[in-house]
Amino acid sequence: MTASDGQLVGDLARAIDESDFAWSLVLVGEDQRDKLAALTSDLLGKPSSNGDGKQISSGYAYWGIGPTIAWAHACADPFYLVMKQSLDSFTRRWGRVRGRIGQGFHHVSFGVGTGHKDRLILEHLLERNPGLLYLPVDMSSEMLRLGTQEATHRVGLRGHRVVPVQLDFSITDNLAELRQLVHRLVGDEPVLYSLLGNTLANFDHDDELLANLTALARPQDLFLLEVATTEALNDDLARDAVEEYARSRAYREFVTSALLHNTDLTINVDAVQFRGSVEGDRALKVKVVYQNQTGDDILMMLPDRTRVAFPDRDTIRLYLTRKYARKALDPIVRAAGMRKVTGTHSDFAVPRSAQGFGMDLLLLAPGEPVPAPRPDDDVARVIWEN
Amino acid sequence: MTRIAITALTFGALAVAMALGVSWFVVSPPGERWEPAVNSLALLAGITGIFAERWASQREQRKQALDSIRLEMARNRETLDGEAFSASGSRGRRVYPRLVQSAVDSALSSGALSPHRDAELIDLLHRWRTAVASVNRRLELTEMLVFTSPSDENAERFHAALHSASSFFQGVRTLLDEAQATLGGPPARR
Repeated sequence: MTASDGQLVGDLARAIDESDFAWSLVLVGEDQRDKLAALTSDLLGKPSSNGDGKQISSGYAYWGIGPTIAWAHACADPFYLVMKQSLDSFTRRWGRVRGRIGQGFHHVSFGVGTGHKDRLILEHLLERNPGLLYLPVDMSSEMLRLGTQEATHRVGLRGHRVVPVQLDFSITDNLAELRQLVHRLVGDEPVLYSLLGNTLANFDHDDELLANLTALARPQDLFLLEVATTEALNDDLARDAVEEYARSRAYREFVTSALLHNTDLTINVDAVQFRGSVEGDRALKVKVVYQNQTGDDILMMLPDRTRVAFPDRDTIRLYLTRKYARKALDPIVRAAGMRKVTGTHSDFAVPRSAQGFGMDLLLLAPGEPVPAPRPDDDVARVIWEN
Repeated sequence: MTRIAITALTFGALAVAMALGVSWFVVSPPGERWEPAVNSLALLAGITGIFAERWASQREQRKQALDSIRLEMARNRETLDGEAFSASGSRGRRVYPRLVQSAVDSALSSGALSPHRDAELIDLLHRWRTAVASVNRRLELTEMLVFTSPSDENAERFHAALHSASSFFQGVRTLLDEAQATLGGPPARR
């Protein structure tokens, strides 16, 4: 880089910092035409009545301004319990965890969300590292804009220290590139990576995703993971989990917004169905599907003018989510090559929520897990058992 | 020794006076028996009055002790049912309220309870006293370890241990149930 190039970068940073206009400098990591092709491919799946054919995979549910706005509305809906409780209790849970994060951390946030949680994290990290660099990563540029504005609002972070990255982080090759970018920007300084709001649960291969994301962490880095949890796994609780999502109309509008945005279907929110099941010994799984209940075969058109058959009773999987068994969290973390530094749990403190549902916030570090305490080492048990 | 001598002298004198009164009544002519009869009855009332007063005093002392214990048990019940000891309560660091046992201690040490009539109750109260001392000691250890640990995880672990099915605490609740069932409800406040 020549001196004039350096001057240009400096001028750009000053222009962003000194302007009252809300500039945001976004690094776009992928060709959006490829993303559209992938979405089209996902919607070309064979007919299935249970959501195993056509689908809108995780990142696409938030892709575009329509889904982004619908999602912001859903987050404000008091009936969308997971999100409401997650936002309400995050301050308390973060307060219990943050003491374990040292000085000089930068922040890389996967799936920036509404930005409320990132703001709390940034306020804490910025006190300990005035030169903090904030990299929100999301597939949706609209989500990046929405979340980043809230996250940096009145935090005192200068504009050029915020580097939103538009990237599908579920693709392994993208993460390799992101790793290089982050390490080049921060050098050997530590990074706090975060995946909050139960985002992990939205992916088919969630264990693989977590392993890929945590692989970015070096020995000096930390990883903050937030997941929805359940104390037990059974069919009744799976039904309760379904009920939790199904009662929110704003949530139904959000999950169908990707269809509305990317197809010419006339959406009937009552055709949204929620299917709950127990996923082995690790989670309650909720599939949200849109079923053709018109009684006729339909042809739907995608943004690239491709026409796709949507036969009667066929389904499109709109969304996937889970509530992880609390007992399964340690094996999941271990399988990702991480160890738990600390963690906090918060129950859903509302009467309409099933007993045992809550949110867990885990602070993870790379490396071998600390062996589980032997019965003799468990002081609490020794003191309180008969 | 002096106390026994005085007691023997008192009751001996009363017994001799009683015997003389009865003899006087027997040897007196029929028209002059009023005076020895009154004298003998007064002596009899004096002897029985001593025991009656003792029994009444003991009964009152026992009643007061049981009332105090019932109130104390009710207070302990409130403590155990409170937010601090609720399984759904806060899992963070906290100072726990303690169980109290002063009324039980006082009842046991004052001898207000009869070793024969209240044998089962005394045994129960001894077990309760030991359990309260033990639970309070365990709470102290819990607070000390939780407050000196930098990790909140420790507080959660103690919370789970305290409320586990095999926790010592469950035994204390059962013992309190048993004690309250034996003693009956607390007296109405005046």
